[in-house]
Amino acid sequence: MADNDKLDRIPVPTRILTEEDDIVDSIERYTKGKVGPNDLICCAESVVAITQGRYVHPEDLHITRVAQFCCRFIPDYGSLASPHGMQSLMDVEGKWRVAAALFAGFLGKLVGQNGLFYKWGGEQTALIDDVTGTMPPFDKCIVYGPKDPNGVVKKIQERLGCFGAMIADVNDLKRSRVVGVTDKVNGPMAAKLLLDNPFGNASQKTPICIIKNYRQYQESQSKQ
Amino acid sequence: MIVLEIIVGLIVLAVIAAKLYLAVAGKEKVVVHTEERTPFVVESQDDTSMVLSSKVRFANEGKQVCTIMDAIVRPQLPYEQYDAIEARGKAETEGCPREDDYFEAVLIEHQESMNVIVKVKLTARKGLDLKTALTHMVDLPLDLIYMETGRTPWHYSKVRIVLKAAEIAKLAGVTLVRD
Repeated sequence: MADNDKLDRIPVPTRILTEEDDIVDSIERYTKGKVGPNDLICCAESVVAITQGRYVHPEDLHITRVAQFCCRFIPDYGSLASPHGMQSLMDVEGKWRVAAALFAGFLGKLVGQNGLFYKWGGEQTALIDDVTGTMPPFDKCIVYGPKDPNGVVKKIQERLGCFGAMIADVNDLKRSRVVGVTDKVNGPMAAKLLLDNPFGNASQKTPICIIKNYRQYQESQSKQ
Repeated sequence: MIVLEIIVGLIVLAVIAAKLYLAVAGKEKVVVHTEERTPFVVESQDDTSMVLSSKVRFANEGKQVCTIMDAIVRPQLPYEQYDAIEARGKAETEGCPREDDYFEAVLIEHQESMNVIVKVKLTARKGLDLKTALTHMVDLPLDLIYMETGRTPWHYSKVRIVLKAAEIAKLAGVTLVRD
């Protein structure tokens, strides 16, 4: 790879984005002059969701006894381990669906099959961030996963003319997961480049990351 | 009939097993150790105001993680009682000072603790300087109100710290005058 084709990651600082912002417009504004046709634009999942208004305060939820019961069976580090986290999931995926998936997940574990709860509980099961999961002022909110992530990344890619776009769920525990990605991008390969969390989960305010020359990187990796 | 009895038996067993599990797993238990608070110290002082602070330990003595979603210090000094001083309070997580009054939600693992810095700013009123305004000061109750959650739904709790007039006077370097 020539020097000017070198892979590089550029975290992009922004102000706190809210539901008053359009994520595509915001990315265009903050990355102006920095994005080329070989680059990959990555955006934090929670910020996309926040710009879509997909968050709720625990105080605004009616917490049912079923949610209080079910949350007790989730390990206490999980986003669904609190009554409001579980209730927020039940509100979008259905109370009895979630309860049934949890029971099925328990039975599955008894016979060595993991992940049934996340498979049958609905797509938001793995996407919800409980309080403390996002930067202020959203640290007191439950943030859902973004709506239509693949549609959003397509709009970003078309607007910026870059190689691709990706929405990722990354945290400080060295976990990086693709939530939405454009067609030509190898999502799992790109996600590995975000394992050290360039977005920052606390107050770094860098929800966008440009991976310069990602196209060349992906092509060279694919040849190996 | 036997099948029905087996099903009922299994349901009863499942309920008992779930109750046993929940009893053993336990919940979070937030205890604010106001009795262990550090003595108030002067953070800053000028002719008309002073900021005092004390460290209070929040312990999670339960078996599950808890979240402190918010914490507020509310001084209880009505002007009917004493109108020469205005008191404003603030809570901060130790090690995370903030210039705004925002309290960032924080987790406390089970059997672990965190310290909250209780701050109170005393400002002289009526054109008085601080030392003059404090000569007739009264005891100042500070309500430490916090929003907590964990396995139980969110709720507010409150503890009270009383900052004695004598302690304030000593820190400010004034002698209290009895009315």
